[in-house]
Amino acid sequence: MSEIIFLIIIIISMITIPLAYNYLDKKGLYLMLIIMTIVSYILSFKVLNIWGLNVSANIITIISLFEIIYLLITKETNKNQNNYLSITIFCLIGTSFTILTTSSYIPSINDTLSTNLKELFINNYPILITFPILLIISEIISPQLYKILNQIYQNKIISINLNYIIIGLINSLIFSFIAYNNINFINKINIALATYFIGLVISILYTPIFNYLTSKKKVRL
Amino acid sequence: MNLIYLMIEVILCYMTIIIIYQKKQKEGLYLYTIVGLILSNIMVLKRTEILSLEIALGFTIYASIFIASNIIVQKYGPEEIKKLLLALLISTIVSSLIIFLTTLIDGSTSLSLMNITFDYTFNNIRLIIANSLSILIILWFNAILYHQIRRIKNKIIISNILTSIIVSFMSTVIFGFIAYLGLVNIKELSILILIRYLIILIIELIGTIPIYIINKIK
Repeated sequence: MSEIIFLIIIIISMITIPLAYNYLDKKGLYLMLIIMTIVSYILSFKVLNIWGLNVSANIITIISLFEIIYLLITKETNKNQNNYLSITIFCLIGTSFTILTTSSYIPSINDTLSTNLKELFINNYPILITFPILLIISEIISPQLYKILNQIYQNKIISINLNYIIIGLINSLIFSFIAYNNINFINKINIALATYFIGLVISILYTPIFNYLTSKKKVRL
Repeated sequence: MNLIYLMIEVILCYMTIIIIYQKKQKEGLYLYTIVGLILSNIMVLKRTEILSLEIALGFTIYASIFIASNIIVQKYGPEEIKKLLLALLISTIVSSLIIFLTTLIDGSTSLSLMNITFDYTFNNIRLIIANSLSILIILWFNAILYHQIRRIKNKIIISNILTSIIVSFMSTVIFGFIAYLGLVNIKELSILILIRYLIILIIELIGTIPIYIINKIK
């Protein structure tokens, strides 16, 4: 059952990005960027067990996020190339602020969720700090690497997948080692490699959609 | 202490609206409302007490979304709200669906405590639906009402006060019925609605200040 739901989330992500682009043009991509950034941050607080692998829950949305960024780099003018970074920073600050404020309010007597919120967000503060820092660094480095790889190979698809093979591995390893501080070394390695492997598969699955959207000239407004 | 948090939250929300408008104009207001809706859907899951009155959180961002939409109407006309509504609808459906579906997936046993608390926190889809629907249903009406009042009496204070009194009541009633009907009796439900209405109304009335400031910005 978990695997089916996981596949449904992949399908939702894969369908909504082209739909948003079709109907709202670049604004649709920015909209999906906002959604995927906030959702990725929230989902970083769960580790899934699918096909016997321990995978970070935000892997689908992270891959979607990077696909959106590559699309924006391809479609956006030079002047607006870094818009995605300022939007990401705004979303991450907003989400951190929300998480901290929600956890700080003294709960009402009838509230049953408060202990959970503190348990989830404040006790796992390494995730709260590591995720936004890593995401911003990745969003700065990844497009640069993508441009370099694209110049070398002259092929967007190869560039994107090679980019993930390099950045994805570094990202997964650093995140697992810093963020999950209360599990042993073997478990950290397991989560990092499983997340990386599943991410690579999702990245390859995205290839036809990316190819379709980059070759699309006219859009319906 | 909660009152201090509330005041800080109100100041931060309205300051953000002013700064984001200065930096990115209309796109900035769109960005604020979309981010605001997703985040208020998260905050609404917790209940707190303000002046010994119980209320679901997220109401500050909730009220500021209506203020941001009033600024859009004030500056660009009510037709702009149709585009905003579409963006809000997509963002609330996609974000809530992905987060809710993730709570249904089995968590890893090595981090079981974190996974259980995540599932328990985010599987209350009813509150998220109540929060989103109450905004989405009323936002268009809010835009039309604000625009009509502005046409009759071109004063920001009157437009915002009258719109806030009517719209915040309607949205709070919708939220209350979807969120709590069947969970509490009618008397308790009425009290919950009334408290939420009064607090949101005060925050929206304070929201006249950012509308006024932004209206002065060329």
